[in-house]
Amino acid sequence: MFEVFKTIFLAIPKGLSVTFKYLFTKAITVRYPEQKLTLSPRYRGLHYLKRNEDGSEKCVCCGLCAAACPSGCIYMEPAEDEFGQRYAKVYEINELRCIFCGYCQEACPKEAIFLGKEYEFSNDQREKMIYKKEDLLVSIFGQRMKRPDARTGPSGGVRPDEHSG
Amino acid sequence: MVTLTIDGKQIIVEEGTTILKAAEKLGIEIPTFCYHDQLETVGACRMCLVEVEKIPKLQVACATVVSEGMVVRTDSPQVVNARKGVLEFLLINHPLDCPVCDKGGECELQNLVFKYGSDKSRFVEGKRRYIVDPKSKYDDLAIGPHIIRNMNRCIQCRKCVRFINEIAGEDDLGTFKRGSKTEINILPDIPIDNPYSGNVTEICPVGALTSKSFRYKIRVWQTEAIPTVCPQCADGCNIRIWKKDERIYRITSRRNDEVDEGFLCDKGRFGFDFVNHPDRLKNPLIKKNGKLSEAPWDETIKFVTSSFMKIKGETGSDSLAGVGSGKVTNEDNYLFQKFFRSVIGTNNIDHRVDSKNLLPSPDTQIRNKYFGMKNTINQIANSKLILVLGCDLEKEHPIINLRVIKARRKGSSILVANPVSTRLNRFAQNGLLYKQRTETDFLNGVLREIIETKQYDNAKSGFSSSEIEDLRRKVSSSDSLKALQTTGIGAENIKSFVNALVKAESIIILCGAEIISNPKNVEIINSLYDLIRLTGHQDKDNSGVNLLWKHSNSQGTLDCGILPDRLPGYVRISGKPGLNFNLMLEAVNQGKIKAMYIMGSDPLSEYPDREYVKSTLGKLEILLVQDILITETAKIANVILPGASFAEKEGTFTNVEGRVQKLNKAFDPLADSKADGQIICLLAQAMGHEFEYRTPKDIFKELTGVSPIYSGMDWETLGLSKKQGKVK
Amino acid sequence: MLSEIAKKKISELKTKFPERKSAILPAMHMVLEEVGFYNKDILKQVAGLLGLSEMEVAETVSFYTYFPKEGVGKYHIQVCTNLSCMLLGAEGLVSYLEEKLKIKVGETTPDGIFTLSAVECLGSCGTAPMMQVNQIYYENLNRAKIDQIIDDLKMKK
Repeated sequence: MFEVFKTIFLAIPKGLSVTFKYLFTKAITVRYPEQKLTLSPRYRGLHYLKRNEDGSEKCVCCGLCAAACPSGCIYMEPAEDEFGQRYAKVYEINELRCIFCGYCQEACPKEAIFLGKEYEFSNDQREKMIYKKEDLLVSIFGQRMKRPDARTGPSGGVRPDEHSG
Repeated sequence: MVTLTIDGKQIIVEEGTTILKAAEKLGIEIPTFCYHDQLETVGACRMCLVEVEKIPKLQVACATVVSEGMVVRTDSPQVVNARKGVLEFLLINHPLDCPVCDKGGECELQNLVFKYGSDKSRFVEGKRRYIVDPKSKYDDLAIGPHIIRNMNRCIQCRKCVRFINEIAGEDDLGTFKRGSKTEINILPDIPIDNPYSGNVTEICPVGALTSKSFRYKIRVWQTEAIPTVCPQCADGCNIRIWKKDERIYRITSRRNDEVDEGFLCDKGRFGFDFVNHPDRLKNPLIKKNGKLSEAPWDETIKFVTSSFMKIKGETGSDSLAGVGSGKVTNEDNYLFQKFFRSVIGTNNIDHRVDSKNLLPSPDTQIRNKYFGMKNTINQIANSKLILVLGCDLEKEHPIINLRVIKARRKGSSILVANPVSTRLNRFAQNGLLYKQRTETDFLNGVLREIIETKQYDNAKSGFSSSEIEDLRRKVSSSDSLKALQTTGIGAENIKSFVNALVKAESIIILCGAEIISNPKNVEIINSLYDLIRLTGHQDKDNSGVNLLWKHSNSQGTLDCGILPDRLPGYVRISGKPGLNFNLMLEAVNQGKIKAMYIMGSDPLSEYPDREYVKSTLGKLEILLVQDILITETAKIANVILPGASFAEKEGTFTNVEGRVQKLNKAFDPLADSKADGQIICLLAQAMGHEFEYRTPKDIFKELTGVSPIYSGMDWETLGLSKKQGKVK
Repeated sequence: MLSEIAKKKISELKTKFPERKSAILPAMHMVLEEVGFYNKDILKQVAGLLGLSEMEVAETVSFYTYFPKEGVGKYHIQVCTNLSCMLLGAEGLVSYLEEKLKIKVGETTPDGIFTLSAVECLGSCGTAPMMQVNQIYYENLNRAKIDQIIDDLKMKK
């Protein structure tokens, strides 16, 4: 009996006091999507593949990112172009499986793959979450060629490394 | 014997052993680049430096011979520093392009730098470049149909050049210039194109020589290596299939000193296209209204079995015939003959579709004249004289050819007698060209010369004087003297040929397809045995007559009883023997055989008389062909069953010297195709027989029980190098 | 290319050495005397005469910078860039020569007079830096000296 009394008259007010205290402090949440938080400089979002200054792809398809990837979400097929250079004929990242650990970026010997700051790329179709090489490559100026996600549709010009929501 | 201490461990080795070999015995690793135990030691890379007490400077372990009481250290600070130094020197000019290099992941330089090297370089100057095309950033150059060279990566160990010179006996790769400008190259406009060129890509410790077919296909660590056996020729080289998913990316050697010594021919190394071929058969096909159309398995099996039953019921089981193949495994062949003998009830089985002239079947237990190889492949290199007769060894048996070259290097004499000149002739002490089909006359001339000049070994030969007299009469008749002139070989040549033969301490005779399918094959082989006896070599280890079969499992097919007159293990058939392939064709023409089941063979392209086979096989009511590709024969078949390639099934191959080796399955059979053994089981089960084998292991177990020559072999230990079963 | 006398002399060399390969160098000296350079056909001929493979001859000849290839200029300038000469500024002299002749190392001037190459030690370290033009040594070099030598050679033509 005493236990029940203790719960009702002592514990509940004690708990609620914490709740009420926060009623009068500044809100921690923001009004997403109108308002957005500033990301940490080390934030790891959607991948992007860089280009050389002459416009060629930096990636030589060495396979180290795929070897380093703990979730096995990177698939690639190398090939030889007309200059005898090795390049990635197929380069796919399954963003559903990716855990955004950033090991691929760390493993890359050519500084080709980076994790950007985009996090708004949800989709209603699973296939569309497998990002092809064309989706991942940015222009020489570091801008996305297109953004294949459901919300915005294809749109270019976004810098994945500066994106803050 | 010499006692020495390496890293505090004592070991007793033979005199003349190098420190490297002694350390290997103790299990102490000494890193090397330029050392290869099949090649002559040059001590060029300085990677194997070790410290020897009382010698002020470090010594190269690969070339320093042990001496009594030597104390060697392989882990002292001085040695560790020396290794670091050597690697730093190598990396001065070695480009750091591992991400694009095909060797990345299995590169010896990469591995050793990771293990022993330093993580920084003090070298700031630019790296050396061998510019191939001034307009290009890349210095790759195709120096042959299979090889791509990138000199920037070369560490000048010269293993490739030494392999080409010493092992393959060629000279199409060389070292040019000197010092830091040293360059491995071909002569201008003469690409490296010998049948062993692919080995340099495997022997190269770095990515300087890489293979064209594997170029930029996949990283090595993404593939899986499956140990298996090469299906190309009867030598039975051990290989590794490097596969991912259901695709073969490359084939490399799996060293087995009894068979291949770690080298492969280019056919074995690069000839795996047929496995990934887009034209592979994927479904069973039945001919309806003159057109082959796809059909489900159950329908096809039902169709085949009901037709077989119908023919069997109408005209008896002897109106069916089976043709096996030297290209499928022992297990498949064993099931095939079991299917025909127990389910159908006929002995009409054969596999020798490539010749009209068949050798008599061998007998149980005794390895008689028609068995195959009397010697082992290894013994070839130890023989003092090798006679290659009627065989283009380089094309037919490239790995046995390497042993002949090895024997030549050791100082043995090579005699070659062929209707046409072969590439082996360049090593031959005596290369004779006889006119085709005059082998017997030529051999009679040789025997006559030996007898007439009394150069034979009377005591050792075991010939009685009357036997010699008979032989003399046979070879000295006026007919044979006249015939000798038709061979196109002069008496002088025969004399020098005989001189070489009688002087030799041991003689190995290698006969190729030309002899096996010769109209006078039996006579030739008898003459060769007479020759061996006359020279007194019949009981010696490194002497004998060897018949070299054509296909990867020709020997096993014989062993498994794909013969009309022998059961597995050459057990004589008690009743009337069945028909061989030639008689089968006759019987088809006479209307006696109505259905034929051909597994793995392609008589249309293999039989000497193509039109005859084509018209004959066209008369059959049912022609069932089981293969992996649409062969010429399959094109005229009524039913085609899709089999599995060597990479897609388990089983055993018996190579030309009688060594039973295991094939491992790399991946599942393509699409709807099935392993050959499984298809035979399905057919037998549909005909109401119990063919309950879960795996090829069960079949092999049964085979070891049935066949006396395979008894005692254990499936589990087959395929492990050196423990492979060897037919006694 | 080779005269009959030279051919005979070269094939006689075969018997003079226990190892046949040893005959390559004297044979090439004969070629140099007679033709002045070597090319693919000459190498093939020499190999045939000595009973060696073409590869063996080509390998050996490429080892020595002394044997000029076909297309070499009238004056073959060989600057030593080995240790002693390099320490005393041979590399600077090479680039000076490159500038002066307007060609790179290993190239020949368009008029076919000068060929420039950088070679290993010529055994004259005491008088480094040095160079060899055809058979003649020029020692204790500096820029002024090179200017003079080149001018002299140009005059001679």
